[in-house]
Amino acid sequence: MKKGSFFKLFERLKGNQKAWIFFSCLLLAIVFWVFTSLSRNYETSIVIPISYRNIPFSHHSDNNLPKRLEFRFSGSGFELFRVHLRDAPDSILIDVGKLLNGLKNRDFQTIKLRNQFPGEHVANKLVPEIISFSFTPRDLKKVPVKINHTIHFQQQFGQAGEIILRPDSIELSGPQHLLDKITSIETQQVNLKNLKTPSFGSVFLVKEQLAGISASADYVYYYVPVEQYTEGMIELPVELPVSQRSRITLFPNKVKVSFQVSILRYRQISESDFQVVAEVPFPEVPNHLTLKLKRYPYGLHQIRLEPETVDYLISE
Amino acid sequence: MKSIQLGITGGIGSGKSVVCRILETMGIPVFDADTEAKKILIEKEASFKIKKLLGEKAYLPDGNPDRKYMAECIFSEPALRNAINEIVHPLVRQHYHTWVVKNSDVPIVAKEAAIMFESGAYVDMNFIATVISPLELRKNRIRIRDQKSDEAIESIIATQLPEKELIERSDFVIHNDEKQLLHTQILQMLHKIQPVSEDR
Repeated sequence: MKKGSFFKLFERLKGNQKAWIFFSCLLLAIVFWVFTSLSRNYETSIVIPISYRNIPFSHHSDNNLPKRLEFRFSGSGFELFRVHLRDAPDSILIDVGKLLNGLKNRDFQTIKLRNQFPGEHVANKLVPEIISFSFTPRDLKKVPVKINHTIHFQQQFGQAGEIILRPDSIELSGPQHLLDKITSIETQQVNLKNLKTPSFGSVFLVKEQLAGISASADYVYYYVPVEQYTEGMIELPVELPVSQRSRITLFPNKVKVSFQVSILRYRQISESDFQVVAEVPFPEVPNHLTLKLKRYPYGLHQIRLEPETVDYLISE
Repeated sequence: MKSIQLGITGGIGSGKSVVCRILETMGIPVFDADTEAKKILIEKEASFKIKKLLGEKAYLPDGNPDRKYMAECIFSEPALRNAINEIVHPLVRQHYHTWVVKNSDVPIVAKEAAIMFESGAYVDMNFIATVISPLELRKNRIRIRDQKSDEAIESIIATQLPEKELIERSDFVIHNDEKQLLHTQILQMLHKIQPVSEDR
């Protein structure tokens, strides 16, 4: 209700005695209703984060320690109203070092922490009721990072070397039985489309692999080198297995090899980098011989042979 | 109880953040001075003084600092860099002191700062550890992480204290050369700082 309209209503009621009596009774009824409601018993809860202190540096917790503690209160509405009005602490402190006192395993009853919530009305239950501490010496391991990726390049562009990751390996610390299972850490999926320039970015590691383990990083940076490609073509003779050379004549005896290659690499490629061989199956006598690219230089993409098969003549 | 204050410093790309992350996994709270400085730049007190120094261009219309413009000013004019440092660093230290009081119940707290000595923050520290890394490795990290040119990287490195000086002024040296395990070096350091920690 706007301030102006409230005053207008007040002015209109000023001279109306019946309305005054009605509203006074209504107010009294509300007060009684609030009073009776707050006199009844209720339950309420307040959740507060837990802060663990003094965990031994060279030990690792075997289980996931709870991050929050629920304080459950029961009592009259008045009491619980006051509980909610209190300043709840930012966090509940558990001094693990003091608690364990040299031990490595212990079950701790959280009810002992109830006094950390200020006020006279204390919690009657804390959830979880028990926190199990179990520490084992930290084992260490360094594992390589593997990037999961799907990369599509624009036409005439392609990858110019390995994808660089920084860091390319991650240090892990945790219980030995968990570390033994891990040989590498994978990243989340990186999807890149229509690349024509080098791509930089960061990607998170897959969290699930790191359950119960501490890692020196939770993400890595990647660099995808990209360069322009050109189409190359080389014509070369088709080779035959040594034992068949004198007996078989091929038609045609030359093949065109076409491929995509980076412009920089293109100049370094020569005919001697390739070898195409006609496969002669024995004892079958096929209609055509299939050609196979046995050797070709690094960094070539979309390699095609033309023709893929050749005719042949066997001389007796 | 007053916490032992451990400063973590090192040149750009040396791997301070990785060391700090490992410290956090060991239950040691870390105050990141660079992140804090970025937050402070948005605050009224700092932004008013910086605008006075660099002009309105130092801030974007949305109130965020124009980092590119500021970086150009800072790296081209040492006097401006010092003037900005004099605005930001006292505020960072103020925030740090409040943070230390909040964390007074832990035995060790750490502060990560690239310019620990230059900013004067070292005086608060009980121990200082410098993270060092081969220059080429640092450059590779920065190239990929910050996408900076070699020239830009070299000009940043030139403005920071030489590694030799950092080592001389530090209590510990952590080698982040991707050969030695960081965890092992950090544990050794922590045991020297607080030998009783395992018996608590």
